Amino acid sequence: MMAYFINGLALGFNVGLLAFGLALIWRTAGMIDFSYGSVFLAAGYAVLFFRNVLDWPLWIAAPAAVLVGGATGMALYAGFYRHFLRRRAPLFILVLLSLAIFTVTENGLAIIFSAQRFYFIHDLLPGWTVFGVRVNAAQLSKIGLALLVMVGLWWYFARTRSGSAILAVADNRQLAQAVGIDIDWAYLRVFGISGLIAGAAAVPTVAEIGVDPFVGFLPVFLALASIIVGGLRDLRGPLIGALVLGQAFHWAVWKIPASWQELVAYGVVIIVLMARPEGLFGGMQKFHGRT
Amino acid sequence: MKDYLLGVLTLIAIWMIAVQGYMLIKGLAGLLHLGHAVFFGLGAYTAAILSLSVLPAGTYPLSLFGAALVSALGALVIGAPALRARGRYFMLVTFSVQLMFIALVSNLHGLTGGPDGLSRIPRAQLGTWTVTSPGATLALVALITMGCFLFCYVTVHSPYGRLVRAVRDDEIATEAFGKHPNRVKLTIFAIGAGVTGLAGGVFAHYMRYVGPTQFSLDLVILFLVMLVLGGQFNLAGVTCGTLLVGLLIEGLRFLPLPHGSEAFLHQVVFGALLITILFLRPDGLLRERFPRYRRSLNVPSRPAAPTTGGVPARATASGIALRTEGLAKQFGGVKALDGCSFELPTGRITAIIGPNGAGKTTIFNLITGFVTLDSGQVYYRDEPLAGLSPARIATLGVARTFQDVRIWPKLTVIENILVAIPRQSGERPFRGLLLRPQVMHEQRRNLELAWQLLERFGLEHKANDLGEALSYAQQKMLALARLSALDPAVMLLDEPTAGVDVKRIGVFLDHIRRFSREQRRTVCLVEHNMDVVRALADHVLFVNEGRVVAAGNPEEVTADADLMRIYLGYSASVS
Repeated sequence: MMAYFINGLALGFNVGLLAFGLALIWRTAGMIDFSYGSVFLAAGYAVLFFRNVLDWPLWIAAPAAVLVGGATGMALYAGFYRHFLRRRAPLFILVLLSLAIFTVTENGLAIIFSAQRFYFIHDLLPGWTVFGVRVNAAQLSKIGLALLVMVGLWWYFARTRSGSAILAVADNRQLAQAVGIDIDWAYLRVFGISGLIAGAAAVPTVAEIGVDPFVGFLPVFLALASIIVGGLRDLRGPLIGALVLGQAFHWAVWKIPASWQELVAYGVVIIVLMARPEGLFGGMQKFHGRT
Repeated sequence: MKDYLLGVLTLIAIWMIAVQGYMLIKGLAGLLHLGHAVFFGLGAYTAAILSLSVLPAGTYPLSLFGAALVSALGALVIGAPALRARGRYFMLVTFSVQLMFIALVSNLHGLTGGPDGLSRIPRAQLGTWTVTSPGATLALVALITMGCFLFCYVTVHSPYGRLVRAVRDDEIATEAFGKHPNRVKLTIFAIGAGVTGLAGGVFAHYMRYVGPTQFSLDLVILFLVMLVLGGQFNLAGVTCGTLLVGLLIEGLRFLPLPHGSEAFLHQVVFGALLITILFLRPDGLLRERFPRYRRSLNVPSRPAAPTTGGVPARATASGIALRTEGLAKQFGGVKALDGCSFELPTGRITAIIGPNGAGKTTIFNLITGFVTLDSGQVYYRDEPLAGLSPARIATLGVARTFQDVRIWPKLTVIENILVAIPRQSGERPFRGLLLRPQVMHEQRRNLELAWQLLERFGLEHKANDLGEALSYAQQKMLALARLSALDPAVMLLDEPTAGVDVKRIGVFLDHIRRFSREQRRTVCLVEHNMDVVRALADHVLFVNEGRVVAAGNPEEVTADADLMRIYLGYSASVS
C-alpha cells in the first residue's frame, strides 16, 4: 500500500518537473512541444555516455547531462522553432514539427544504438526504509529536484528582470516587442531553461530504469497530461496535476492488470479534456490565441 | 516480382482512401486531428470481426460498409464532446484517443485477439467469387479508391463542402448566417472517419491480418507525411502525396541496412521528410484550388428568386419590427448595458449613436444571441428572442454585419455570397452526392442570385478572387451583399461605412437606403460618422452608459449641444 503511494509520489514529482518545462514553452511559444521528449533522451543518453564511456564520476556526469539538456533545447529552438515562430506558423505546423523531431530522435537513436536498454547503475540503487517501504535515492532526488526547480522558477520569474521579460512575452508578444524586449533571446532562454529542466528529470529516471530510445514518450505524455489536468494558472497547477496522475498511475495496478495502467492515464486525460478543457484548476482559457 | 509490385500498388491505393478521409477532416474542415490511425484501425478491426464471426462468406461489400459505419460512429462518439473544445484541446483529445485505442485493442483479448491480433481474415469475396490473384485484387481496390475519390470530390465541391470551408474560416460568421458550425464539424469528422474506416476494412481483407502494431503512432506519422507532402487542402494533392510516399517506402528497401532497423529507418525518413516539407513548402506540393465560376450567358428566362421575396409579410400591424425591453449585461464589474429599451419601426432606418464604450455593439450582440442577456427581453414581431441561438435568430430574419467585417477570407467573393443564401438543401451532407435535378436546379438558381447581387454591389469583376484579397472597403461592401443574400427582415449594420474612403461612402448610403426604401427592410445601424447618420437615419437613438438617453430625428439629436458634448467625450468645442 505505502509502496504505491511512494512510487506514485516519485513519479508525480518527476512528471511535474517535466510539466514545468512543457508549461513554460506552452505559455510563451504557444505550442505543444512533443520534441521535449528529444531533450529528455539527449540528457538520458548523455549521462550514460559520461558515466559508461568517459567514466566520469556521477557528481560531474549528472550536472553535465543536465547541461546537455539545456543545450539541446536551445539548439532545437535555434535550428527549427525560430524559423516557424518568426513566421507565426499555425499551431498544427508547430506540433507536426515537434512530433517529427521526436520521431526522428527516437528512431535515429534506435538505429545507432539499437533498441536495447542501457544502464549506468547496475547495482541496486542506494535506499532507505521509511515506514516499512524502501525509498531509493533516485526517487528522493526526483522529489527534491522538483521542489528545488519550483522554488528556482518562482524566484526567477518573480525576482529577476530576465524572468519578467519572459513573462511579458508570454502575456503579450507584440507589446513586449514594442517595449523593447528581445523576443528571440527570450525564446532562446525559455527553451534553454526547459531543456535544463528536462535534463534534471531525465537523469534520476535513467539512473532508476535505464535508457532506451523509447523511454522518453510516456513521461512527456504524462507531463502534457498533467498540464491538461492541472491547468496553467501558475506553477502549482501542473504539479498538482502530475501528483494526481502519478497516484492514479500507480494505484491503478492495485486492482487491475498492469497492462491497463496506461489506459488509466489516457482515460483521465480524455475525461478532463472533455469535461473541463480549462483544466481542473483553471487558467487555460488565456491561451486560446493561436489555434 | 510482378506480384510484389501489384501488392505495393494495392497497399498504396488503400492508403490513398485513408488519406483522402484525412484531407476531409484536416484540410477541408481544418480540424486539428492527430489520431487518424484510430479510424483506420476501427475499420480494419470491424471488417475483421464481422467477416470472421458475424457475416456469412461472400459479403465483402457488407463488411466494408460495416467498417465505414463503425468508424463514423466512433468519430461521432469522440467528436460530439471533443469538438466543443477549441483547436489545441481537440488535438490533445484525438492524440490521447490514439494512444488509448492501441492500449484498448491490446487488452480486449476476447474481441480483438489482444497483442496477437486477428489472423486468417477471408479475402475479398463476392458471392461465390473470391478475389485471389494480385491483379484482380489491385483492380478491385483501385475501383474502390476511385469511387472514394469521386465521393470526396463531390463532397468537397458541394454546397456542403463550401459550408465546411466557411466554418473552417470563421465559425462565428457562419452562425450569424443561420448555420450550425458544431453540426457541420461533427458531420465532416464522421464522414472523413467513415471513408478512412472503409480503407481500414479493405486493408483487413487485403492483409488478412490485423494487430495493434499496425495502427500505432507510426501510422499516424505516415498519414501526416502523405497529407502534408501532397498538399493538405487539395484532394488530388493528398492522393499524389500518398503515391510518392508509398514509392519512397519501396525505394528505401534498396538501402543496405542491418536487419531489424528498417522500421526505425522508415520513421526517421518520414520525420525528416515532414520537417523538410514544413520548412520548404508548408502547404504541400499542390495548393488549395478554389472553384471558378463564370456567369452562364443563357440566363434562365424566368428571373431568379427576387431578394425582396416575402417582403410584404414583413410589415406587422404594430409597425414595430423589433423591440427591446430593459436589456442589461454586465462584463465582470462593468455594466455594458443597463436597462436599454427601444423600438425599431418596420421599414425604417434607425441609427444608434453614442460615445465609444456606450454599449452599442453589445446591443447587437445581445439581439443576435451572440452574448446572453443578464435580464431584459428582445421581441421580434412580438416573439421573444432571448435564449435562442444566433443561428436560429438569423434564420428567423434578424441578422447583422460585424464591426470587423468577418467575411470568409479563404472563400472566393462569390462563394461568400453563396454560403450566405439560406435554406439550401445541398448544404446537408450527402445531399449533393446524387446530383438530383432538384438540388442542381436550386444550385443554378442560387448561383444566378449570387451573380445578381455581385452586380448590384459592384463586385462582379472580383467574383473569383479570395475574400482576403479584397480591399477593406470592398470587404465592407461584400459584407452588405452577403447580408442581402441572407435576405433578413431586420438588418443590424455595425459601422457599415467605418474606414471607407469618403468618395465611396455615397455608394454605401445608396445601398443601405435601398434596403429600407425599396426592399422595406428594417435597418438599424451603429455609426460614428454624423454625416452618414444625417443622410440615412429616419430616427436616432443616443446611447450612453448602457441606456438610451435621447431619441428623435437626426437633426434634433445631432443639433443637441449637450448630447454632442457627451458624444465627443466632453471635449471643449462643439461645432
